[in-house]
Amino acid sequence: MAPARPTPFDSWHVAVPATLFAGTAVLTMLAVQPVLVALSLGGACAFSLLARGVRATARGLAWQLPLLALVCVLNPFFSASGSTLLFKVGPRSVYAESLAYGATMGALLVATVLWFEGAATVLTQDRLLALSERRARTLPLVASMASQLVPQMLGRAKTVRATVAACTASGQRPGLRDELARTSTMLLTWSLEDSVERADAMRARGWESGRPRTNYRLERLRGRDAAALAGVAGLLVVCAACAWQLCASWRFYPTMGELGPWWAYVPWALLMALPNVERVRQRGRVRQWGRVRLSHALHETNEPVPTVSPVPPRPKETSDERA
Amino acid sequence: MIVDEQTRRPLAGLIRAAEAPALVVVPVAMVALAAAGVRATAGLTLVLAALAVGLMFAGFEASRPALRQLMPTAVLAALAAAGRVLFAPLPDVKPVSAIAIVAGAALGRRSGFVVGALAALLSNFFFGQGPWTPWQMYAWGLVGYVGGLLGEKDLLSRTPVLYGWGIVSGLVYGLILNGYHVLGYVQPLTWPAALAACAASLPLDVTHGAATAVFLAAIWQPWGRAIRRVVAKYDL
Repeated sequence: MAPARPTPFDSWHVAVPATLFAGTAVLTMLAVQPVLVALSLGGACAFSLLARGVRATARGLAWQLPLLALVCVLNPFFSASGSTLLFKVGPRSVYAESLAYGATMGALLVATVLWFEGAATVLTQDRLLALSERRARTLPLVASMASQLVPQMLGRAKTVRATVAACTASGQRPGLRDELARTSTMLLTWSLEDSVERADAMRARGWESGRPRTNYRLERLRGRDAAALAGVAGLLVVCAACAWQLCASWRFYPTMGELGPWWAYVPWALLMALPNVERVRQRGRVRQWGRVRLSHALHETNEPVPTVSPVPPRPKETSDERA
Repeated sequence: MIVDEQTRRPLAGLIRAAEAPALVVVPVAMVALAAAGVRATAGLTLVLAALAVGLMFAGFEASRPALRQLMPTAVLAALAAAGRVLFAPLPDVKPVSAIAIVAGAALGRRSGFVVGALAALLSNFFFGQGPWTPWQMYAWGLVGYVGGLLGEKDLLSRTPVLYGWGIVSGLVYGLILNGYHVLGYVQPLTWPAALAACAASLPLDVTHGAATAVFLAAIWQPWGRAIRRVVAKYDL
């Protein structure tokens, strides 16, 4: 069997990326300071480009950038304040400070969304299940079951509506309310009965037998994972302390405050770069995985396995070329 | 009606006792921190909302319901999320609140909370996750929890209470999400600014409340019958 495709952070215990992404998102949401927000947005954008690709990032930014602009523009209209008057729109005065606050909050919003999207590519469902305590079975089961059921129900809703629409022999089509009630009730009954039978099938296969639940993949906290976890936690604490200092010296109103010393931004910049560094490191492993997979595929078709080299062999130089 | 299994362990009892205060403390903290002019109000209240959701989830986990009784919760959460996705083209016409209320009444207040909160989390995989996700989880969870409380006191069998909570739930949801918006994105925070933001969203909140009442009118009877039928058929 060919090896599974590597995903970012898959060489680490799931607690490492979970702590890193949760800490990064929380600190981003709490630190309302323009430079910190800009660094976070830069890191999040870079990670999105590296982990999700250009197309997915561009598709997301198509609605995130207008959202940023909307938040930026709305603040001066809800709350006009500041000392640097830029222009007036009717009776409303628009101040630079007010716009700066709106732009910072808009950027913070987009950065948070991008970190969430990045985390979703790393923390896949099976890894999240492994993260939850092995004895905690109720909520992970409900969450994973419900997430599997949503696409199934969207498909079943179409089936039910098509079936009801096809039943022309039963007379005129019902009104909107009746159709809504009938479709949703059919969907509910269908899914409920299915789910009870599924529960019985799970019990028959050993669920609730008193043992801790099993995992799709074994996640063991090794020494290097513990060290990485401690490193990430330490970096988060240092970042929180620096961000606290920087935010304390910064204000938007009535005039914008001091940006603070440059070195206080270094831990924050490191934190935002960390997921990108790991992603770049992991890309090398993806290339290696591609070569191994190719060799597996050729092996299965009983063809000779060629030696795959990342760099094509150089042709021998002729005497003319040397000349 | 399916009733949560009684919890026996002291930790479970402690969590259960902290549920209602945890839900109440979030709006209280929003008002108190904003009135005190605390700069990190938005972040702190977000953490509080996330903690309240976490505590409610811990309470649900500690109640250890049987596998067969878990399934209706998962189904209703998925149905609410799918309903939100299906009604996405109509702004603020969402069946999530109505389904959370039905779940609270039929399965108990904790299940009502879990259905509302999970519906917000799962449907946001389609609409986009963000800092609004914990707030939506808290708000829809609260709608389901109060629905469960009203159901336990047999008040939802009275039509005015049922539709009344349907309409008010839209306004409560709107107020919580407006609070998140005002605390996070309006600075400096003044009463006129907060009222302007709430007034701007009032038509949408009223639409949400009215839509919830309409959904309740459409599904309360048939869904109640369907759930009772499955409960009787499978001896839940």
